[in-house]
Parts: sequence; structure tokens; C-alpha cells
Amino acid sequence: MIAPLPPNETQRLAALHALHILDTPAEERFDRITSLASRIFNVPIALISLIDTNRQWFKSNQGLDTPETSRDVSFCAYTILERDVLVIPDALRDARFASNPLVTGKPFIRFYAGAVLRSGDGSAVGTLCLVDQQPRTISQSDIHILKALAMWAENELNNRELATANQALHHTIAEQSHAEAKLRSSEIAVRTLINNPGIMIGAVELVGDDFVQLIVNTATEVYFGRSAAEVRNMSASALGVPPDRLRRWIAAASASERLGQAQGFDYTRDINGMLKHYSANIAYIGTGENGRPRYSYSVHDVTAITHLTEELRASEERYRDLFENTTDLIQSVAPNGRILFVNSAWKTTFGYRDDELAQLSIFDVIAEESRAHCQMLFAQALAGEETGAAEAVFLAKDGRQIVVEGTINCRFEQGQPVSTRSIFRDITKRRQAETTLQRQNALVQLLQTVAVASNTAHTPDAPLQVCLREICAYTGWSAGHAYLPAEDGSMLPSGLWHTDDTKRFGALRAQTAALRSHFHASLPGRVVTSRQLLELHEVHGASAFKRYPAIAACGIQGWVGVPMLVEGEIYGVLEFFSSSPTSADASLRDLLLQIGTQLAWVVKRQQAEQALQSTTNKLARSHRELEEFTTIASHDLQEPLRKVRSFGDLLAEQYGATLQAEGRDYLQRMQHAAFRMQTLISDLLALSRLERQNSTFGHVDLAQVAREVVADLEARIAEGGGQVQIGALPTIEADALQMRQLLQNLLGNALKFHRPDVPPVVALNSQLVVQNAAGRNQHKAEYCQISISDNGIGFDEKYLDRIFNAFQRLHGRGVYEGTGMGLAICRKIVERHEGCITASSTPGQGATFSITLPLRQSAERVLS
Amino acid sequence: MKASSVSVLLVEDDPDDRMLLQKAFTALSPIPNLQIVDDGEALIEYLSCLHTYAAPPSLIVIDLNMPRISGHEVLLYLKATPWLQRIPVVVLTTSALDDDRRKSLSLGAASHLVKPSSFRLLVELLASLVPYWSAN
Repeated sequence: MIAPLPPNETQRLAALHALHILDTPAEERFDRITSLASRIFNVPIALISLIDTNRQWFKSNQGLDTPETSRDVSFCAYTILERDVLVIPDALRDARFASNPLVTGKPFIRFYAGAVLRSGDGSAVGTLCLVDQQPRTISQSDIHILKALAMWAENELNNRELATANQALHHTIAEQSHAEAKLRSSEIAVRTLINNPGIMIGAVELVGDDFVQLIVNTATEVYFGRSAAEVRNMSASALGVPPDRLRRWIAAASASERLGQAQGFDYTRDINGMLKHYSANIAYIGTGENGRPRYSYSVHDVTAITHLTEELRASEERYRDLFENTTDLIQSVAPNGRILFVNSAWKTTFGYRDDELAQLSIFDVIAEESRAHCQMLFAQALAGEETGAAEAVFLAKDGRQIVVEGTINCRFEQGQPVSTRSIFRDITKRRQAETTLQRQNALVQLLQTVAVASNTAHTPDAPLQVCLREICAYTGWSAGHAYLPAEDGSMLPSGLWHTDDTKRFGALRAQTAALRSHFHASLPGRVVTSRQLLELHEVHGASAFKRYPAIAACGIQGWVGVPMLVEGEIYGVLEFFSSSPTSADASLRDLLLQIGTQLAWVVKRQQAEQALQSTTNKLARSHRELEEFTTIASHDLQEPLRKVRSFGDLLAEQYGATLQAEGRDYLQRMQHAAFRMQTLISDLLALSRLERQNSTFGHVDLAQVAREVVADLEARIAEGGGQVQIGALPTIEADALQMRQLLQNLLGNALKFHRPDVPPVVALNSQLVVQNAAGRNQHKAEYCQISISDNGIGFDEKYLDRIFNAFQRLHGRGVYEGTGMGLAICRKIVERHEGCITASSTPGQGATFSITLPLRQSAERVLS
Repeated sequence: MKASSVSVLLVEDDPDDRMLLQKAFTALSPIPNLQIVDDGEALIEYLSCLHTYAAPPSLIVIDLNMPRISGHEVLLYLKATPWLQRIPVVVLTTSALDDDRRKSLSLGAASHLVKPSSFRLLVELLASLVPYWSAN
């Protein structure tokens, strides 16, 4: 879209051209305004644009690389249609500009704000405008500032107008000095041209050391309070110009004559207590007909502009004050990293002087650990990306690390990054506090993790792995490894590693595994010898270190060896590798030793468990072997024996009659031996079955059992004319079959070992015993004591130890039958019931066997 | 027909025991018509030939500890084969282990007998089996 022409276009163009400003060189007085505008509004582009017939031409240009553009694409062509200001927050969203080549292409305008500049006759000749490549909004107070700046620019334009007018007057007066008529017509022209009440213009003639007014414009009414006609031919001193100012006028006048160009100076007047500022200008224009020198002059009331300038200066001062006195660290950095500007807080915090900063790149003041991250952020900012909150570690000149947090963004001019701007805050203290807290938490967590891993472990591997990992995480060390004792007590690399990078430590791990043969010459070997924590802050100082080449190759700088000590005994060594020189303080050393001790306990416990396990295994093996033996004995040995007996029987039955008496005797002895052998095996089998088989505990009425046993033995009792008296017997928790065997063996013995010719009398009695269970607990166990007394041959109590052992016999086989297994079986049965058996006797006086059995078996035994 | 049919089929791999058992069966009254096979495989082979033309035996007596196919496996085979499962089976073994006894009975043996250690007792034990072949 092309902006429509204003209704007064012809008059407007005439006013513009009358300014004689188009295509003149840039001037500092305009550039100051655009530069200030660019800084105040933080925009990359600020312009003073004048709208000519077919073009807009920039009298002042900040941030644009062209002196003019076509009027067709001009934003300002629209602005001059407005009363004062046009604001386009986002050009892409404005139908008038969305497809404008200045929007879609360079300089990619998104935001525009322009204030109208008017010439003396009120024609809108141009604008002061702001352009940004980001959409943005502008506040009412910003518009106010923009208008003020426009007013300043307008004044400068009018100054320009004045200068031109002055020049015209100068020429006119010079040309017409010889022709009064011409002067008159020129005067009319000048008067027509210059009717600005703020600018007094005139010509004077030097008379002695005073000026006499030749001609002056209507502004004298404002300045002197007199009309132009009144003032004419009056001297300056008569008009009240003070002598010192008059001397300045005369000095400037003679200087302009001498130098051939206009001279200016500023002064002030106090008008009823109001200080007015003026800008004065005087130029030599030749001598009059009377030979006196004549001058043109102008006096410009610049009070308003001065005030505006002061206001802007104050505003700038406020910004500067804020900038310089804030505790935030502000920096501006060029795209190449050079430091352009920093505020005082920045300099104070980091300790650099201006002259030092000039030599530095921003990356010189960033700590190495943070540098890559900052370079990335910097590149993002230069690419116009949003970086968000950034955190970085800076290096102060004295080497202190300072953690800062803040933002970084970039200023662009015509799409090119010009500088980055960052505001940071020193968060070192906060970060230190956080770090301390985190470390404390981490420490608690570490100790807890280690404790849990140690307590729940059956082998040291898992807790070691946890410790290596956790300690590395806590300290930031790169790798950790453990040495553990071998069975022979020597220390060996365990192969347990924690590393932050498997590839990196491959060679070191291989060399460590090879340390086996010369462990004592190694650093961990020295830990074993010294029983002390060893630390190498810098491994470079220890090239004697066995693994030095591998360690240096993977960039390790520090080494720490921690003994695993319990009660002065060493149970292993932990070693750690750090990528930076280590400096373990007392508390860290203490912590490492504590963890070492905890791990040592795990190793010690495992060693004890292994020893116990190995004993248990040995026992189990010998037990199993014994069982296998008894199985062989009971089955495989019995098999041929059965056949010996069976064929013996057949022999005796079918051929007994044909044998002689001696042959039959041999056969009988053979048969007898085979029978005894079989009994022996049966008893052995019974004993081993007691070992092997679980007892089944239930309620057993001992009186009932005793009666059944007596019934079984009836024949033998009757044969010897004996008797068995059964007293009161309790019901107890026991294995019924075993109880039967127990009583059968004991009653059988009592009947068997009777004195010759004395019929056996056996008494079976019991009593309950309440007994403290050896103080182990307060629970009272109840027992019953069963006694079996006989009147038999008795035994010498010195054999008491022996009689309960297997195969022990006190009597010759010819006298009393038996395998010597009976009492061994009894003892085994009683022991299986957690009871005890003993006996008392005097040879020839009978014997008493006492059995103590608990009334109840413990719950787990009953269950099993 | 009945007279020629086998009344007791004995499975015994031990030659000594085969001889002892043969003697012991001969001491019984009435003397059963005894057929002896050496082991489980021979038994299965014998029974599969028998199937086609002869009446099944009145009683099968098996040992437990035999090569290749154990007595319990033979028992399982007999009880899983429809036309054989009605024949009473008695296990006669050296083993007095409770486990073996329980297993024999749970697999369907009529009884589990332990070989006694004298010939006289053996004859007495076998005498208890007479009803199996003398009943009808």
C-alpha cells in the first residue's frame, strides 16, 4: 500500500525545500538526537526522515545503511498524515505494512514509532522515528519522551531554517549595501521569511564601542519589549544590553570580520526571576556608506531546548546512576567476546581495572568448568535465541570463583549482532550454602546407603560396589577399585570397579589386574603395610608408581588409598582415581576410613561365615559318607549273609542226617556266627536310622508302652521266673516307636543280666522334676525321671563312661548274648528327646538306669 | 486248560534267590505252577507273547532291585496295562525301607514282603501266598 498524499502537499513540499536541508551532510546536532533516541528506547534504528516528492531522505540515520528509500515504502509517509505520532506495534499485523519490502526484507521492520516534524509554517516535513526488529509496545510516557525529542529535532530544523535565513539576510545586506531600495525589498523578504517571535534577527552598525540597530524583526517586542520601529537606530547600551555582554558581542563581531564567518556564543538573561537561555550569532556583512562596519545578528531563545536537554541529561543521569550503583553485575560484550562495557559493581566484584578489561575476552573471566556452557549461551544469544536464565562461574582476578545467575541477550543492528547485554547477580554465597547443605545431605545419604548395603550383604561385592559408586559420586572422583584378601591372606585386585567411563579406564584396569605379582611394591601395597590412608595429590610427582603410565594416559591426577581396618587388622584396600588433584580434608579422610571399617566388617563377617560353612560342609560330607556306609552295611552286607543262612538252613535240613557229628557242629557254629553278624547289622541299622530319620513326636503313654514291652518279653520273664513291677508312668511328648525300643532294651538288659540262680526282679518307676532351665530363660521346663532298677549282676561304675558307647561289652559273649549296641541306642533315643540317661550300680548289687525326659518337646521339634 | 496255566510268575534277577525261591515254592502245598523270568524286560516280553494264546498268571511276584527296569517300574507297567491290571502283584525284596514299602503299596502291590534271613522263615512267608493260586 502507498500512503495517500497530504491535502497540502504542494505547500508542504515548498516548506521542505525552503529548509535547504535535503542532501546536506550529516550534522552532529541531529545525530545527537537520534543517538539518544536509540539509547533511550533501546531500538537498533532511529531516524530523522524528511518526506520529499518521491523519496524519504534521512537527515540523521542510526542503524540503517541507506541514505534514503522510495516514498512508496515509507512508514513516515503515513506518519506525516497524523497530527503528531504514529505507532505500529507489529508491522506484520498491520495491513498497511505486512507486505512492505522493509518488513518482509531488510531491515525487517516489526516495530515503528514516528513523531511528526513540522517546519516554521506548520507543514509536516518529516519525522523522528524509531524502528525495531522485534514487535513491541510503547507506553504513554515513552510517547511523551518521543514527542519531546521530536520537538528538539524540530527546533534544530528551525535553527537550520534560521541559519539559512541568516545566510540569505547576510547576502541580501551585502548585495544591497549599495542600494537601499534593494535592501528594503530584501528586508521585506527577510521579514516575510522570518516571523518567528522566538528568534530575533537584525543588522547593526558599530559606532565606537556600541552597536546601533539598523534593522530588526518583530521578535524585539518579545526580547526588548519594544517594537521594531522603536528599536531602530537605538544603541545596544541604550536598549539595556549590559556592558560585559556588549563586549562579548563586539569581540564576536570583530572575530567574524577577521575570520570571515559567523561567530556564536551563548548567554542567559534573568527575566523577572526566570532564567532565559539564548544562542547568539553575529556575522560581518561589510561597511556602510558611512564607512562603519555592519553586522547581521540573531538571538535565539533556547530556554525550552536547554530545559529539554537538561531534562534528558538528568534522565540519562538517572539511568547511569541506576546502572553504576546497582549491585547487579552488568556487562556488554562484543560478538568476538571483547568486553565493551561493565558497571562498577562488576569491576568491584571481579577486581579488574578498566585498562585490564580492555585486554580481556569475556571467556578469560569465566571459569573453565563453565566456559563451554557460556560459549553455547553466547552463541545462542548472538543467533537471537532466547537463552533463559543462565548460570555461570566467573573467575575473579584473585582467582576466587564467583557463581552468577542472570540473563543474556543481544542487541542487533540491521539484523547483525552488535553486542550482548547481560545482567548477573552474585549467588556465590547462596550457592555455597546450598552446596554445604547438599553435601551434608549427600553425606547422610552416603553413610545410610553404605550402612544398608553393608548390613544386608552376604558377600562384600555388593556393598563394595555401592561404596565405590557412592564415594565417587560424593567426591566427584572418576574411578574406584577394591583390593580384597585372598585365602592365603595376601591382598589381590578384586576386579570390582566403579568408573565414570569404561573405555577410558580399560588399560588401567588391565594393569591393575596385573598387580597381583608385585602388589607389595605398589601404592595400595603401601596402604596395606602402613595401615594408613594414603593420598597422592598429584600423581605426576610419583612416576615410580607401578601403574603410572596407564594412570597418566587416562588423565588421572590424584590418587587416594583407603585401608579397610577393623581392630588394627586390614581386610582390604579401596583406591580412588581423580581427574583433578585431590585434597581430602580431615573430615573426608575420616569418612573414608569409617566406610573402610564398615566394609572391613563385611569382609570379616564373610570370612567367618566361609570358615563356618566349610566346617559345616565337612561335617555334612562325613555324615553323608557315614550314612552311605550304614546303608551299604544294612542292605548290601545283609544280602549275602541272608543267603549264607538260608543255604545253611537248606544244608542242615536236607543233608544234616548224612553229616557226621563234627560236621554238624561246624555247620551250627557257622550258622550261629552268621546269625550274630545279622543281629549286629540290624542293631547298627537301628542306630543309624535314629540318626537319619526324623522323629515323629506325639503324646505317648509310657505306662501303656511299658505294658506292651512286658507282654513281648513274657516268655523270657517266665523262663527265668522273674517279675517286672510297673509303677506310675506319665504321658509325655515323644516318638512312640523309639520309646518302645528304649524300654525294650532297658527291660531286656535288666532281665538278661540276672545273677545266676537269682530270679530277676525289675522295678519301673517315675517321678516329675521341676527344674530351672539352667538360667537360660525364666521358663520352667518340666521333666520326668524314669528309673529301671534290677537285682542283677550290676557293674563297676568305673565303666559307666563306656557302657553307653556302641559295641562296648562288659561280659564275654559266652556268658551273655548281645552286640553291645543296646545302650548306645538308648542313649541316642534319649538325646533325641533332649533328655539324658545315666546309671548307678555296685557289682553284684543290681543296677539302676535313670532316664530324664522333658514332658514336652519344643514347638519347632514337634513340627519337624 | 487251568492245570497247564501258570499260577505264579516270579521275576527275580539274582540266581541265588531264584534257586532259594524255587526250593521254597516247592515246599508249599499245593505246589504252584511256577514260571520264572530274569528281569522286568523279560517279564514284559513274556506277557506280550502270552497275551495272544494263554490265560494270565494267578500271581506275579517281583523283586525291586533289578537292572534297567526297576520293580516299581514293572509294577507301574502292570497296573497301567488294562488286561494285566487285575493280576495281583506281590513285591518280595531285601529292602525294609518304609519309603519303598509305601511306594509299592501306592503303586497297587497286593503286599510288600521283605526277604527273611532263613530258609524256614521264607517258606513260612510264601505259605501265606498259597490262597492266590489254590482258591479255585
